[in-house]
Amino acid sequence: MDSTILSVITSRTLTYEQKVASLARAAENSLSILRIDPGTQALRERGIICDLGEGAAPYRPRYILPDYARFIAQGSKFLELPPPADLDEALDSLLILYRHVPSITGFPVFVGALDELLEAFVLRDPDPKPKIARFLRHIDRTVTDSFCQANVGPRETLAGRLVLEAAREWPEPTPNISFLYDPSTTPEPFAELAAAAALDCARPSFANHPWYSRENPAGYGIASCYNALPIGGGAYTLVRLKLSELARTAADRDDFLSRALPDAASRMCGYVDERIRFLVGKSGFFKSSFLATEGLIRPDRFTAMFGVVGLAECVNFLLRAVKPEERFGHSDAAEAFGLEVMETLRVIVDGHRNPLCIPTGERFSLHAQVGLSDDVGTSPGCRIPIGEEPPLHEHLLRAAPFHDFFPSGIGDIFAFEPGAKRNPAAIVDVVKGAFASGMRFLSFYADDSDVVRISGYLVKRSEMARLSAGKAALRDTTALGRDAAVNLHALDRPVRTLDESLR
Amino acid sequence: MNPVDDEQLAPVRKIIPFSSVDGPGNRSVVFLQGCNFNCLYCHNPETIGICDACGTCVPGCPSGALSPRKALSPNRRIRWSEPDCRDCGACEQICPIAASPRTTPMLPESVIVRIAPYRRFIRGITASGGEASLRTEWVTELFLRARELGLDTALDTNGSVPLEHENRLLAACDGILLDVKSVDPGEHFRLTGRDNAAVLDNLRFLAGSGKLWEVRTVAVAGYMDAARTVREVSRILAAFPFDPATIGASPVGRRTLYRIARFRPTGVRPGMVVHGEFSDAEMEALAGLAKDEGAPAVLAI
Repeated sequence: MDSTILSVITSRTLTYEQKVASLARAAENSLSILRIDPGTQALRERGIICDLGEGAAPYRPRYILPDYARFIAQGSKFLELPPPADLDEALDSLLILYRHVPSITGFPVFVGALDELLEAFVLRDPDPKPKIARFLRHIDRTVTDSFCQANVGPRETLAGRLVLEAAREWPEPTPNISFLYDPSTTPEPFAELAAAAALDCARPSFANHPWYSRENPAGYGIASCYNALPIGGGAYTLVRLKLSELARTAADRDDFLSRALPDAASRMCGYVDERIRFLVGKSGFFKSSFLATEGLIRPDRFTAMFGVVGLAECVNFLLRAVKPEERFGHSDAAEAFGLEVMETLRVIVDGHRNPLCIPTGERFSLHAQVGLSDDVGTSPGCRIPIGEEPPLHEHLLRAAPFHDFFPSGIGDIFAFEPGAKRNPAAIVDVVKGAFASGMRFLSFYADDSDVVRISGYLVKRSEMARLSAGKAALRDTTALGRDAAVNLHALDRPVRTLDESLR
Repeated sequence: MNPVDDEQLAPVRKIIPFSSVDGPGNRSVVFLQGCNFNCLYCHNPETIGICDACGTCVPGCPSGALSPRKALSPNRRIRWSEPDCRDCGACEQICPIAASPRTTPMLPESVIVRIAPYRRFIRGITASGGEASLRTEWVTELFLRARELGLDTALDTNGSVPLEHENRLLAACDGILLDVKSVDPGEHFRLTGRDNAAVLDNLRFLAGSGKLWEVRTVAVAGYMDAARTVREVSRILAAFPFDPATIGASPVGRRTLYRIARFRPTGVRPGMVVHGEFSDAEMEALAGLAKDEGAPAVLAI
């Protein structure tokens, strides 16, 4: 541990803030107070069960989505802020609050449905656009980690337009933006503006609003990469099951489905239970945080996420699928087995109850985890491996059946030729088709964009180049992006064209 | 009898499930083989001719995807095995009549079966070519079946077939994408090998029909008076700027887009390569001219 700490302290590429966060992590991880049985511990050591750097002694929920609307309405006694009276005060108050929203990284993972929060103030302001642009820049330069989302839509608002226009004119990785899209109510030109912005600056992504709002009648937000979670709450924890590695512990597919998967999944449920027990019961977070005491979050609005990675590799391994046409994303047999794995897992996870996960019926919420930057040979969630993707039209049909399993998030990413910018309506058509085919979430970027989407988060290519040249980078996700580009070929997605010529 | 097809079948060169450049939104495009123009700048010259099964291409296929049909086969044509094809295009380079053995005679219904899995992701289909209007009956059937899937229908045409009295086709067709290569008959003849009287008649008729989604002109530097064609087409479009009656009637329900495309000397047959490419500034000037003349929507690319 001493050497870890010293290497953090003497690093030449970590910023001061990054060092402080790393030191705090090292301190937390020096404890071993969670009760973990040996079987679970063995799976953790093999990387099959992984808490994604959450730490050994959970003292704050992983994903917090404060009820910002309530904050705007009531201000905060703890922060000594009255309710804002105009746009300047509203933006200022939000920036203050963001500073105090805990997470694993120390940065807020959700900055709110900015359109709805700000619309009333924007309409009364004589010149709101520069203010919105400065506000977004402030977030980008202070939330120096792009696991942070703003939401816009489904209603067309002036504030929503301004957020999208500012994002487009000043391309930055943070905040990530999700466009909550309802094809039956969102006006077509507004959806086309969102698509045009996505092609220009890789944000927003498109979230299936009708579906998510049906599943979350009390309100949801899209946080971090694409995590759909209750507003006024969030997720205590996200632990993931690495199916690609778990597959290697099974004798064959039947052994996997009947023994390895149920065993690992139920151990992981126990591990998630233990993390929640400590966080809620011991850490005192919900007793001491002003977010809780002022009603901006409530324990009954939190759930836990059961993450999954590497389904593609799991399927290919167990089916011994070697030929391209036999592999996950290409063959009906691989798809059927992938669905069987997920269905088996869903039954196990839904059969486990935790009374502290109230918004999801005392169950954990399945999540297609986007991976870590050193996940060599393991694809995010249920994604088709980069380098093996079929043409766009087939890819969409292959990906769609898996989206149903993941109420707390799954998404596919498509890189497009810059020519697609000439017809953003075509992108909107693709999104409509995706939603109608059962997809929850899609992201696009154009291949010539400096800001690109890695696995869910955004980074700037220019900043990755700076970091590779040995210079410090402002955002910690830049290092993750650079590693993912090397290890996971995250920037080698096929460039899709919607204007394929005859030959 | 045409050696390739009878009336029910059309030679389909390719079906592209997703396209963003063949009309509004995302569309599936059906490319038919065979064109009555022979444009010097054609980027798909292999779609012009109809294969007469001469067999010249068969030994030239590096992957063995081509074989001669049995002599007694009722539709004499070269057999093309799509799974073996590497899409190298060697057969089309060899072909003495600018045709392609890589076509499949299809019924409109069989095209629809291919497109149906993607129907949710597209708003419509476009019949293109080759020249789709040479097969009005077949295209009409295709469009009627596409509409049954809830898709809109567009015809991409060189305008050589008079459309004014093609009532069944027009009734089945939501939008037309019309090429106007040149307004000058002599220039048009040099570019395409055909007269342009029918094209201009179609332009005038369609401009007032509410179905003209797009007009396209390829601007070739040094070979044509591009400004003249842009000016005169724009004037005709300006006479029908916005018919409120059509708003909302079609899925586009909007002004005709005038797309001025820069000729690029790549992928065309030898001979045109000598002709130049307009600069960005010159393309902008053409777009400006179109707007000045009243074209309601202009895209210069």
